[in-house]
Amino acid sequence: MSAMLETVALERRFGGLVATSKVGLRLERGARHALIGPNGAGKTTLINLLTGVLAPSSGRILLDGADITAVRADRRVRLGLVRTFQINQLFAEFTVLETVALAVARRRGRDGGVWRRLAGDRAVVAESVAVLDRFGLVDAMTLRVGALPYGRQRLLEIATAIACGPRVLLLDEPAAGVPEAERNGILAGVAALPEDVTVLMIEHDMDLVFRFASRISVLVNGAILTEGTPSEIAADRRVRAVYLGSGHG
Amino acid sequence: MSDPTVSGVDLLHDEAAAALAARARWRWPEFAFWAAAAASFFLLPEQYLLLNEAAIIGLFALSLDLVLGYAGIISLGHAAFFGAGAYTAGILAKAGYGDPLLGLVAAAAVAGGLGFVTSFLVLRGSDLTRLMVTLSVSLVLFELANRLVWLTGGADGLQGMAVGPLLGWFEFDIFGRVAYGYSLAVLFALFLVARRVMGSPFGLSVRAVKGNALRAAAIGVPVHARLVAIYTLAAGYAGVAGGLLAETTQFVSLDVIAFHRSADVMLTLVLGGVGYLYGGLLGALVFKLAQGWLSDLTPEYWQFWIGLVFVLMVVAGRERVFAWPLRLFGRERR
Repeated sequence: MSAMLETVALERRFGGLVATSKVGLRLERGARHALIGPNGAGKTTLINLLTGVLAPSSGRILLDGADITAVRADRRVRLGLVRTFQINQLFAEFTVLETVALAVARRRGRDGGVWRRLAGDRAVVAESVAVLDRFGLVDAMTLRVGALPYGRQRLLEIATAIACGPRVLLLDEPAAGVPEAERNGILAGVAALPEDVTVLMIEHDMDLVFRFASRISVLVNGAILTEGTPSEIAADRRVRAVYLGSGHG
Repeated sequence: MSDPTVSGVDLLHDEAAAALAARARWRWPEFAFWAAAAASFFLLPEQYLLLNEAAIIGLFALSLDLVLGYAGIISLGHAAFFGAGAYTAGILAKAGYGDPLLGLVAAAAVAGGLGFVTSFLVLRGSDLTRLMVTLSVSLVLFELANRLVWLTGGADGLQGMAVGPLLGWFEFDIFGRVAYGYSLAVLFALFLVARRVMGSPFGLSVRAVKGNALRAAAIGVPVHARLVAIYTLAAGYAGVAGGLLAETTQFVSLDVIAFHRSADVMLTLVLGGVGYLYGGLLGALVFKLAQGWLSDLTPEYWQFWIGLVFVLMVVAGRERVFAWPLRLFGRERR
């Protein structure tokens, strides 16, 4: 199988601090991959490098075999590399529907029209409604995003990314701050993605990670410590040591 | 989370389309506003000069609203484009190309071109940087206009403009009748275009950039291209406003590009409220009427009263002051 997303010796330094150290991460097409690691391991920095928010100091990023290291952030999205944010990044003044509709319109190349109206674009409207329905947000579609309760904003955060039609979806702690009862909605929305969509999830909730992932990479101090199946990771003594904080084994 | 039935989807679809269309729907206060504007042309002949100026400043403030209210770019140098448009129309008229509409097109092109070029400076940095950059650009242009005496007339102003009749038929009269009709028609036409454009997917993506540039890029919106486009469009609008002033007053002085004009247009827009297109128009009207009324009362100190109004507005809070115009003219807020 070919790798859908791959990094080659990816490195990012902030002055003397090495935030990402020679990371070689490989996601197969359709993978359900999790990235775990203690706080400050550099997980979000890695996501920022992958999505083009940060430029790497050295190394390469390949999407479906093509080098995208120098490609601008918004172009990477158009190539199918889409992310969600650990802290909600939404348009507070938009309605829920407008948020998703803009993402759908963008993917369909309809966001540059200066004269047309979105309301008249049946394909965009239909797909927006479908995405909102998948996340149980249809009843909230005319509400202002800023007025939504946190849990539903979290759902919208993920719905917006999915509306971009990802080939690779990077979920940065999707369940962060979401009450236990509402986590299933998030997981269900992700589970409903087509199988050929590649998903990388960063998450602290081990329960969620083990339910979701078929492969897990462990990031410690900016470097990949180990990678394997959930059972291999669960049995790994070094991983246990890192998580229990009893020194590096 | 089961799939809804087919008819359910259709219903939802119509509801969603209606919700998306709601923001773009014309509301009765808008009709009332433009009906009143049209009526003023027939009912207030002795106010033509004042109203003409209000319409021009309104268009100028509308242009700033595109930049500030929709794209979130703070500009303290918007007079650069107003001035560029005024000088373009003025110099053309002086050179014998006095057709008013030709002058406006040229003013829009020059100011828009200037906006396009300088927009790349504005992309850099944050609010404070943008404030400084826009201010600097306008100061540089002011000094250029001051020094290029052979072209602009320098501090004496541009003398000897010969503006031809509008559409080859309507001569500009001393009462300002043709002038006001002309300015009002141009304002209305450009307002319609702005309203349409800001209600389009493009307009939505510009507002997304203002709302959260990081997320806008993360859904694939080309942030820089959007800012360049809206800044260029707004500069063109400001250029038309400047061109209108030059043609209807048949005179251009350094005043059109001076710093106080950038500051005034900002105050005008803030007075009317940002981000719903009518703010600049209402602000210009209130500003001009207040200026006329207050300067009758206290010729020396009218600016004191304007200043006091602003202080009171700040104290009262933006949301409260603009609650009623936003409800009347603005987008639906829930």
